[in-house]
Amino acid sequence: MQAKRSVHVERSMQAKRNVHAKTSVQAERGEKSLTLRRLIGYVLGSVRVRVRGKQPERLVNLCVCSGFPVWDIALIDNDLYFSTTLAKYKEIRPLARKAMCVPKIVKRTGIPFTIGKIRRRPVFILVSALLLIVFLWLSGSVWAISVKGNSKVSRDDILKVAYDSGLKIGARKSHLSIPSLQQAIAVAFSDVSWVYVRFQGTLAVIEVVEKVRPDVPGPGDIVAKKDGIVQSVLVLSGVPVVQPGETVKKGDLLIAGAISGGIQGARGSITAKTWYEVVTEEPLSRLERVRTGRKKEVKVLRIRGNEFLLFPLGKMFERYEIEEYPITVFGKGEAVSGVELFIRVFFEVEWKWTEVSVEEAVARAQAKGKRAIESRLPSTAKLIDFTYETSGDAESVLVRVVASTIEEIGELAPWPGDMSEGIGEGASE
Amino acid sequence: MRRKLRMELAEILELPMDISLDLPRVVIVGDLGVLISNHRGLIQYSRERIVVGVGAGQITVSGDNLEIEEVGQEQVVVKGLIKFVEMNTA
Repeated sequence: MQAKRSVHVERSMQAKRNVHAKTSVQAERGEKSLTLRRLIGYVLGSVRVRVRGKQPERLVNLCVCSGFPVWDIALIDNDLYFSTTLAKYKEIRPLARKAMCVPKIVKRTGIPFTIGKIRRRPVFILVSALLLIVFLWLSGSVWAISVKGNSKVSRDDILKVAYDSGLKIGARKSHLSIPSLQQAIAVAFSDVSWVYVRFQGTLAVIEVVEKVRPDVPGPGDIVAKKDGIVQSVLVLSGVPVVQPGETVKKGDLLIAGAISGGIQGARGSITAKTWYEVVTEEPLSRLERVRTGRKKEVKVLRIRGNEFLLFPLGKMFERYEIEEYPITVFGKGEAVSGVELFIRVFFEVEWKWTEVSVEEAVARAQAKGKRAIESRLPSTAKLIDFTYETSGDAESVLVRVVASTIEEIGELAPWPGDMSEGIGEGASE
Repeated sequence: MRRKLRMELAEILELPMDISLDLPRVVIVGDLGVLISNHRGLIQYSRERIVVGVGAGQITVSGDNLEIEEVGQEQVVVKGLIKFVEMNTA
């Protein structure tokens, strides 16, 4: 009984204070942070119940005992509010009677109530469905076209070809054949080597990759770049002017590019036997440095780059050569890191004129000549043989080295600009 | 006598006292909330005072803006500005 009295006192005090209005409203509505319980309550449907009566706490206790999930209990203006699930609320009547309370739903939340609301509005459902259908239908059309990767071919030209093939703003995506569209654009522009058409939502993207042509000289005739005897003639286009076995001079026409009925430009390969000539001279005597046989030895200690002579050197030769021999200490080259001990030998030398035999001089001259020619040969030239002619006098020998090679002698001599005009696309490919 | 025996048994077997003696367990989270486990129902509720029945008496939670966040068969969760928690044994 005391407890009951206390409840009444507390409630009347609460009614008088009327503080924390905002908090009270929130509590009444059950607005709190979303928890898992509220999420489940939202999915299954939950109700906010106001209980009026003598023993609202008893109703809560009865609900709990009956296995009702009850949450967010709040007392506002002598009324007790709590939340429970929709399914359980249907069983609350007998419990309320037992507790002598009157429960009333003040708020309904959750998907079941939302569905119920929507079902009462058929026009809303109809319009929503209609909007969805319109949206889906519109998203199946092309509303923008983008062209990427073109620099030589203009965007408008590509769009025009695409338009002719059916790709235009408003076109249905499902009615477009991407392979045929790609093929149509690739065929229409010879400068385009690859086309890819794709859709990003309602945006059609045409990606093109343009051809990159190598920088070749313009059409012309093929002429000889050096003298030679023609060995083979291979004509890819144009008219051959020379035959194998003919002798040609530098600048001679080898393949004519112009033919009757059109201008094409010469292409082909002409190999010819050519020669390289070098004259080398080799003296029959030469100044040589020779050792006289006299030498001096000195022991040197080198510590980190600084050298110390262990014995005085005395008077040094006027001209000399040096040789050094390391001294091993305890079987090792360097006993201590950075410290070296070695013998330095000075050999006296003098310059002398020495006779060179003719054969030796000729051999040296030939070798020198061969080296000189080999350094001049182009990489494509195939070396056949060397011939040597020797002459000379009492002081030196002269050797004329001639190398015969087979190599490509044709080079393209482009025509002047006015002749090149009107050449078709295919000619230069 | 029986309670003493059960206490001794719980101590020997190292069992939690609240389970073996059917006692309430009260968890106070700062001044933000109180969790009372193993309760016997709500006795009194107001914004300043909540009385919860437990096996051997009552637990009184006093404070401001008190709300019962959840009532289950096992536990009561009280939230608000907690000032005072009292255990009254019968």
